[in-house]
Amino acid sequence: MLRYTFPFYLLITDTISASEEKGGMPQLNPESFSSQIFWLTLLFIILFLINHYFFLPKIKNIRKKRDETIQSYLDEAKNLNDSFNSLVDKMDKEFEEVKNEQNTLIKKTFEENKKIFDKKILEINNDFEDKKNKLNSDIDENKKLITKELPKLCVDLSDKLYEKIMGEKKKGSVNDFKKLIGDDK
Amino acid sequence: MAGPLAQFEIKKIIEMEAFGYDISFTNSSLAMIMTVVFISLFMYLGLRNLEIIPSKKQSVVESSYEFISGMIGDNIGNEGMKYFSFIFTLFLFILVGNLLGMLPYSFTWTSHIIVTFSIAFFIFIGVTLIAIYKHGIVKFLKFFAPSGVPKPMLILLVPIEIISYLSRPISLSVRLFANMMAGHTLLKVIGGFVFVLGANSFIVGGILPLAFLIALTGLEIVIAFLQAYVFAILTCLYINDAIHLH
Repeated sequence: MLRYTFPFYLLITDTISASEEKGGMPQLNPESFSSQIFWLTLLFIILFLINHYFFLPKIKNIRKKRDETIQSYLDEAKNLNDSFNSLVDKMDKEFEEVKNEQNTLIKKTFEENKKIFDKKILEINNDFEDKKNKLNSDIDENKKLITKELPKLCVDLSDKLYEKIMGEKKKGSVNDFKKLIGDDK
Repeated sequence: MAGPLAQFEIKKIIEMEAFGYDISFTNSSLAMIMTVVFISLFMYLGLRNLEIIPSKKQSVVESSYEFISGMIGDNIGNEGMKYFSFIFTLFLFILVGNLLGMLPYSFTWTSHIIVTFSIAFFIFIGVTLIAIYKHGIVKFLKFFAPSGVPKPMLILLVPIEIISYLSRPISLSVRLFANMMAGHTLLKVIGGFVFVLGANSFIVGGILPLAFLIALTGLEIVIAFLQAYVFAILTCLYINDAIHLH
């Protein structure tokens, strides 16, 4: 009864009885040592040889191959990147050249146009000046002519007025008219 | 009911003898063969159709490769790549041995001190030979007497250094063995609780220890990985010490 109500007791007695039967821990029984050492040595050497000559070289090779593949892809990517960068550089350079050329052309065209424009302006100014001078001289001439002709016209006009009013013809003289308006000099 | 230590018993399957030594094929040998077969199968299936863009299986195998490669790179540097195959095999061998031991009715060969000690002793001898080959015996012996230490202190320090160096295989092997043994013993004890408490309380009493057992199994799986990792990383550190004596 005690045996079933106290499991600890059961286990302890079992442990003790097992140890007593076999002379303690089985690990310390030297009878099995030679067999264990033999099989351990044999099997460990077999496993080592299988790993060393068969499995591990396979892993090494595939890893090497993988590294090489990755490296080749990296190299290819680097080359592509380099060629892309050189193309971008070339494009930038060409773009810069075109920009410079464009600026030069704009500047040149602007200067040429400015020259043409200045020339035309000068021509127009000169022409304008000429025409102004001519006009002034014409005006002066006409003014002189009018000044010269004006007394005679006035005398003729006054003669015609006299005839209309008075009903008789009378011929006035320019000199008298000049005396009358005080311009007889 | 069998005791918690009964699971570690070595049972002979085929009796064999060579040069007067018993080399019988036992349950431990079978578990080791299963480990080797499992690792070989894992590697074979993962590397069957190698692709530059890896499949899921290939990724798993390659990630284990990268894991060990990173461990060696971090702890030893490029010089350590010479020992890659050994550390890789060692890590997988212990890891799969630990994990297969978690299967019911299987056998955890890493819970045997003679196995872990053999591996650790081989590493110890190997590391010592590497150090002597690389630096010569005089430089190697100077490793036990750090430079810049006052001479009176050396009387105390040299024996400590020697003991610490000699205890490396012991600490390395006992760590793995003790963890595995303790874990599996605990699982067996808690498993016993489930059975006994469940049988005596109409199943209800077994629920709590069962939940604990499940949690503990998860923990054991983590420990299985952790111990393999610790074993491999300490091997790396010892090799690093041998290559760059300081």
